[in-house]
Amino acid sequence: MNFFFSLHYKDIQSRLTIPRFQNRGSFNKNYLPYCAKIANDSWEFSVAKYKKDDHFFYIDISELSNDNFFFLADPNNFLAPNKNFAKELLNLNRFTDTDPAFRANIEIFNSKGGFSSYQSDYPYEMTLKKGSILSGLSFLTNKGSENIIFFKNIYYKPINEKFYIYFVDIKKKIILKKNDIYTNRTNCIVIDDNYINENVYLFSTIYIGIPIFLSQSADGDLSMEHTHPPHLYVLGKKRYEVISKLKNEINKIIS
Amino acid sequence: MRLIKLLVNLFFKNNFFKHLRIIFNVKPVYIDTSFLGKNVSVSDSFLWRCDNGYKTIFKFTDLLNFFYKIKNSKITIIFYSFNGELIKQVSFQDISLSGHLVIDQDFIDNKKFSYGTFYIFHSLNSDNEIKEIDLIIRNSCYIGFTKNYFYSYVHGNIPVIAKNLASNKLYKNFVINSIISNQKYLIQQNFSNYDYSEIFISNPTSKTIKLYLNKEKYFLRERNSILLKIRNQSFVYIVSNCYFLRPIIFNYKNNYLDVHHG
Repeated sequence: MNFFFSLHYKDIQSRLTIPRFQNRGSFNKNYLPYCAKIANDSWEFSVAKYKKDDHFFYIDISELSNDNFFFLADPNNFLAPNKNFAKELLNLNRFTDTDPAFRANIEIFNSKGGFSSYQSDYPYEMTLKKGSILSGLSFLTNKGSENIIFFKNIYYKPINEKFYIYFVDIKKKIILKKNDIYTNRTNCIVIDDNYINENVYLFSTIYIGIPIFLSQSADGDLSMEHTHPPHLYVLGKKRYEVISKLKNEINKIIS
Repeated sequence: MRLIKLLVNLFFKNNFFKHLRIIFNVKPVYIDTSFLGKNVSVSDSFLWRCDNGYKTIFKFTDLLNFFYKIKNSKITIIFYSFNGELIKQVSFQDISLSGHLVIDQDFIDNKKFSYGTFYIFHSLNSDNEIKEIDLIIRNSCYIGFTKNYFYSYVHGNIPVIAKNLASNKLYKNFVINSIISNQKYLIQQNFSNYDYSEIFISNPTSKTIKLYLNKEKYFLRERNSILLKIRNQSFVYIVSNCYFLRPIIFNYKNNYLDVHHG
């Protein structure tokens, strides 16, 4: 199961389109799009406001925020009495578990007309995990433009807990900056232009998430993409040992 | 016990059983890297383009240095045209942690080539100590595209080829082909709001692929790629004899462009 989210920063807004079909061809016309948000220390679920056609749900723009997210579920076995509040997120169905990954399209746009699309999926399995994320700053940024990291976390418990993200120079072995961020939120962090070089890495502690890099030019051009986690680059049997060693080195710098 | 091991191996490694697993949706595997040897550098298939004023930037990491602290290894990038012709190869050595390469018409140096694919391989020098190494690295780094000064980025797409770190041994065909052209890939995006869009598809296998984009038929030989324009279409699908044919999409509206995975 996947959750779908949106991103908002200053005049940058989002449009979220959720397909009613899998990329290998199966349709399911029973599912509806639901919105999840935290209310009174619980998950509150409701059917999202949407328009639809034969192929897509178009989530109403007024529904989208950095503090909620969306998913597909069958109304016949979801939101039964007393089920619209919960203490944990559940893995409700496998419709969005596909290979390649299910693409709900989030398109951000600004007032100048610039736009960029992104595959807005957050797998349920990730919501159960704690850990750390390591990501280089120079790969998806445009030096001299406005660069933002949207760090999206969804955690299965309905909590907005503070954790930290560090900008670390791995060559000089120093912390350049530390930011407070929160679980179950799309966190926005502005990247200082001086940090955009091959030695500076972002490192989260306690919770994981997806680091999505947004770049915006003075003329309104937009670019949005996420970096790969380190385990995608190392495929051998010792991959987790190698990555753990690397993260331990970063942990020594920040501790 | 031996029989069970044999059956498990058969189920997971035999090509016929791989097809059966896909057909009956039993732990299907669309990209199979299980036959890779030790000490291998895997490359995604990356798009370059310099048609219509485009420039491409490739940002890569010295993975052997970053993950294994192996210094002075070599990085080689090999460029092919859309019709599979070898254009050139460039090598980098001692690049510290990461590097970048701008691919424009001057770099390609031949106007008959406007777009195509490239692959990146890491290799060890004779100085590098390899006896303790048992590794497989995958370079799935980042490419950006621009017509002015601002790059729209996308990450690597599909692993397609690998090379031994210390020899020229190659590994191909991680993506599996089906016997008949019955594999659907429905792009999960509505394209009707753009001025127009382009769908980039490259052949991830060494065999010829037959594909249909909304019923138009195309053939792609090994290392071939194709850039197809669409306009005012809300629903786009690909049918082919390839189990994993994920395109890269370019969308255009007014004077803005965007690139992402399909």
